[in-house]
Amino acid sequence: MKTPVVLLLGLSLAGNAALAYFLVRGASRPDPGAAVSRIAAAPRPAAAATGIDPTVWPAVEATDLPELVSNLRAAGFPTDMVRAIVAGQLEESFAARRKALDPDAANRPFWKTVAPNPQLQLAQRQLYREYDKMLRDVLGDNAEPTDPLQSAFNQIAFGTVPAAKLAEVKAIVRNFAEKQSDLYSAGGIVMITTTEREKVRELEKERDAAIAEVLTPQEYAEYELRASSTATSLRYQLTTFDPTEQEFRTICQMQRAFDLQYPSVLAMGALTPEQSATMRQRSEAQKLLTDQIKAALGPERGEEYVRSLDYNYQQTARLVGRLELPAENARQVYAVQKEFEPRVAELRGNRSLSAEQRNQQLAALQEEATAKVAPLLGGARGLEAYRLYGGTWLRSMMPPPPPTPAAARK
Amino acid sequence: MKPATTLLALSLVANAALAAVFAFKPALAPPAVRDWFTRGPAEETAVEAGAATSSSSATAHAASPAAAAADRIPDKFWSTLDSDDLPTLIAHLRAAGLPPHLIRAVVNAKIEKLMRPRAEALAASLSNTPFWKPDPRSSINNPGFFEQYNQLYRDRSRLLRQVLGDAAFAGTGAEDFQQRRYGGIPKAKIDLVERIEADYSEMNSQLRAAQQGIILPEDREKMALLEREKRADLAAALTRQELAEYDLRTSPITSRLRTPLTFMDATEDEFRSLYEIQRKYSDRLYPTAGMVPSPEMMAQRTAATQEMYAEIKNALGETRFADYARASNSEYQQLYRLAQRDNIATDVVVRTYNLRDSAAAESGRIAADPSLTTAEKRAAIQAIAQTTKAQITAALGPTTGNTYAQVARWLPMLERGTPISIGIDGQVSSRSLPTTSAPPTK
Repeated sequence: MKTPVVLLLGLSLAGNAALAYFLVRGASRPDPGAAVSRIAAAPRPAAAATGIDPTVWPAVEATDLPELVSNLRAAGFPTDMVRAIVAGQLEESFAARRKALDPDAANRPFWKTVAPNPQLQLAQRQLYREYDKMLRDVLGDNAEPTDPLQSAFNQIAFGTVPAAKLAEVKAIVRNFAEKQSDLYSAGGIVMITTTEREKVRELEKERDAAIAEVLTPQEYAEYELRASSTATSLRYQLTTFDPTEQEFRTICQMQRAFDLQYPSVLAMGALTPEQSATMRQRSEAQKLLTDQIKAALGPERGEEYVRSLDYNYQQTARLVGRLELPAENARQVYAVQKEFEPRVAELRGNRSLSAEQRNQQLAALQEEATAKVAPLLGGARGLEAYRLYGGTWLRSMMPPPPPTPAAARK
Repeated sequence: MKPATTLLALSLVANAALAAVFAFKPALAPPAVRDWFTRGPAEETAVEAGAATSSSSATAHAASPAAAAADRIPDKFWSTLDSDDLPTLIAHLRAAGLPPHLIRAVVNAKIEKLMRPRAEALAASLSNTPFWKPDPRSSINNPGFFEQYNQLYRDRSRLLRQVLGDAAFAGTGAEDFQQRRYGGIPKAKIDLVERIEADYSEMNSQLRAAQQGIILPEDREKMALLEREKRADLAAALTRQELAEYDLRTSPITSRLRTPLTFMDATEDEFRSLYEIQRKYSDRLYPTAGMVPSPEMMAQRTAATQEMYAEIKNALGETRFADYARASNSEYQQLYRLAQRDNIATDVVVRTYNLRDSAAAESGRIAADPSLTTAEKRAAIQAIAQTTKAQITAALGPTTGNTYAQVARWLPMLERGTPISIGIDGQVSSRSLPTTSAPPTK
């Protein structure tokens, strides 16, 4: 028994000595509180007026970002202020480099803009990514601002993604956005040819496959309903249709399958013969899809769905809403359009008429149609607006005036 | 009790007492364990979990120089600086010695925090929208939200400027922007003009929100009224000369001219000349927004374009006019951007672009050739397409050449055997090929 007691006694006495040493050392260090008092009395007017100790900030600030974060936390700065200060510091340290990339910016004449320069764009993007990475490295999840609006925006797309998988899915989406931006910039921003579009499609496939690996099939299906390009465009396209949740799910599922099978080939520039053929095939398949969706929705809603796809009808419905007229009026105006379209087509196809006779009859038809839609639109004011919003068919009944021959260049 | 046991008991009590002193006054504890005394073991675990997402370097720092620096930092420092009264906060930050860019960062974050309830109320309206309903962020579907959203950001920016003055945007490039936009207008007047611009921008934004994407006749009147009033306010704030300079720098005409002028590397004299000519035609070229152009207006526009280009040609001379016409053409702009990507020299770009002129001239000659049948004309024009395509690829290389071939919309016209012509404005149009029913005598 004797040996353990002696051993414990030795350890405890060593502890006494160590603790006493630290206590004496700690007490002999300058007391921050005392420093505050001393400096507060120093001749610094602003500090004196505010009672702020001007010696503290120099101890807090640091060029090394992790150290700065540590100091700010030690000084009791809340997370949002830590983020603001670190981002502000980073911005400042990047400002000179950013300026060096485009040194002529400040002296550029006001009548000119920055000339296209893919290398400059690439360097600017790389600099931004470096900034973003440094911010994330040092702040981790706190690098993301806690703006409630941004959170709500994210909720629309990521609302059903489980919290544990959210960071991974967001990282995949961010990575894709960066690659897409590189691709577009490489082509000169406005230059989205079929080649670029094809590359973007490949990237989209990669992104979707990566997300599908992270999520369960059920989670992925729900994610697609909220974040896929199909869902996004349907939400806009179906505004007038105003679908129920079940209707949206049905349409989105069918449209998604179609979009994946027949991707759009629309892009800047001319189409190759193969692309033209693909487009024709897509157009035929789209008609079939519309019929299938119509059948799935039932006769009444199916009819409403088809009508809502017509841009003229969408515009008319919005105009009727703005004019505070009954929604039914939009349907009646559309019915007039549908009544007159075949009559116009028949007149235009009638070879037995001279151009003058045809134009006379078209003018009469235009007058008749105008007389029918005007009261539905509340009179002249609504009719004038209708010419711009939904009434293209009415405007284009008469043939355009013959084009002025272009003056020769030389 | 034996002496050794008594001594052990006393020593343990002394250890406990010393530890209690550190717990009571953590600043006296050694740096390596001070945090433990400050936060306590439970909180320490939580902080570690939170910090796990940060970099490993941050963790390493916490135990070394950073921790040493933290020794000298009072843990309530922020609470001595903080205030919801922005001038007080700024005074505190300045007194503490924060540099301007960090004062701006902190004040900005504080404003964001103060306006958070408004942002949260707006966010709630978003969160309540089911996923199958139209996107509530759309300016067309939900103009009310869109306007409130914009208003929130306008208010934040205004408040920042109000409390920080010019320092609000110092070092952000705002000075360069002001110099470009207002030139030699005195600073005090610039502030006034900026307030006028902000006020009318806000009123216009509210007006647009109320329009719900549909411009009615009375909306046009309101927009015109706002424009007239803004003009009157600017005229009252500036001298005639300053107003002319302001117009020159802020006009939509200048905005439209910037890209062509950059591509053709225009001088200031050339810019001023082009600006004056375009200003004369702007009413005919760009009628009021929200109006359906009548056929007469469209014809007027076409005629005005022709007249304007002729006048520009006269003012700039043949060579510079060619540079201007080319630089104004979107097809050339795209080709130029493509060439920049692949470091292709500008003279090669110009020569390649000009291939369409020779192709157009040749197709016109073939179309007018009475010795050819329609089928022969078509075949000859299709051959021009092939030759031109090969020349494009040879000049630009296969990758850029093929991409440009996709952009040059006139090439498919030639490929179909249709002759093309190019207007004075550089626009390409197809011409119908006159049908020749009987083969002519050769």
